[in-house]
Amino acid sequence: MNKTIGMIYDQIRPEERLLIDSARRKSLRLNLHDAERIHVDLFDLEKKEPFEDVILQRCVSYFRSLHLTASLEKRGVIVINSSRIASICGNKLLTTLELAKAKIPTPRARLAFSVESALDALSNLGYPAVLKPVIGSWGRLVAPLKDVESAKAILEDRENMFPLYQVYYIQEMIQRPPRDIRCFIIGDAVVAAIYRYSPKDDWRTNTARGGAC
Amino acid sequence: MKGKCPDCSAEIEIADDSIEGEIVVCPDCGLELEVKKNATGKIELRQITIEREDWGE
Ligand SMILES: Nc1ncnc2c1ncn2[C@@H]1O[C@H](COP(=O)(O)OP(=O)(O)OP(=O)(O)O)[C@@H](O)[C@H]1O
Ligand SMILES: [Mg+2]
Ligand SMILES: [Zn+2]
Repeated sequence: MNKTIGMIYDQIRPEERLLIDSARRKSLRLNLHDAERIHVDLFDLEKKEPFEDVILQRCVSYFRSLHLTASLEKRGVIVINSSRIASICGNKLLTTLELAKAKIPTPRARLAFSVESALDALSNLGYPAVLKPVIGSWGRLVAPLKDVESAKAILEDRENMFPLYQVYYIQEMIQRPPRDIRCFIIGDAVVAAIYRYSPKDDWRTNTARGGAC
Repeated sequence: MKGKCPDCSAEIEIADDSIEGEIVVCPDCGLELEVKKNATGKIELRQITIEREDWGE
C-alpha cells in the first residue's frame, strides 16, 4: 500500500511541525505543497497528480484554502477539511444557521445589510451587543456595541470598508468573566479545553490579541 | 545554516531540515520571521507580513 499523503501550507507553524514529525513517526510519507508555489489546472480534472489521494489543508489564509480545496476536490482528492466544512465553519452566519437548525444553544444573533436595519436589529437584541465580520478570525474587528451612539459610529466606519464588512452579523453580548473557554472536539469527545483570559486593555479573550491561557 | 534578522541583524541559526515557510523567532528582538528562498535560490529570513484579513485557523 502506498502510504503517501500531502499537506498544503503557507506557513510552517509549530502545529505543522508537529504534523510533519508525527507523520515521520508513523512512517507515513508526507509531501509538502507551499501554496505560494503551486498553480492548478482547472480543466484537467481527470488526474490527481501532482497531488496525493489525501491532503491536509493547513493554509493560514482562509480564502486561499477555500479556493484551493475546491479545486482539488473536483479532481477527486480528499481534502481535510473539506470545502463544505470549511465554508460553513469559516463563516459565522452559516455556522449559526447550522447550530440553530440542530437546536444547539448559541448566542442570539441577527443579520442586517444597512446601518438603519442594523440599528433596528440592535434595538431588538438590546445593548450591549457584538458586531462581527461573518468571515474573520483571531478576534479581528469583533466590536462591542455599548449603546446606540457607539453602534452608529462603528457601523458608519464599516460602510467605508470592503463590502464583506457590510454584512452585519450582530450578536447578543454574553455576560461573562474576563475569560472564556475554548474546547477542541474530535468526533463526540472534548479532547482539550483552555481558559482564555483577556489582556489588560482588551475585552476579547483571543490569544492572537494577547490573551493568556 | 545561518540567517540574519532583517530588523536587528542578529545572527539566527536555521536548522538544516527547515522548510520554506517555516517560522522562526529572532532570539534577540522577538520578531517572527519566515524562511524563504530568494530569486537566486538562496535561503533567507523575511519578516512576516502583518496579519492579513483572512488569516485564522
Ligand atoms: N457574544 C459575545 N459575548 C461576549 N464576548 C464575546 C462575544 N462574542 C465574542 N466575544 C469575545 O470576543 C472574542 C472573539 O470573538 P469570536 O470568537 O467570535 O471571534 P473570532 O475572530 O472567530 O475568534 P477565533 O479566531 O478565536 O475563533 C471571543 O473570544 C470572546 O472573548
Ligand atoms: Mg472563530
Ligand atoms: Zn531581531
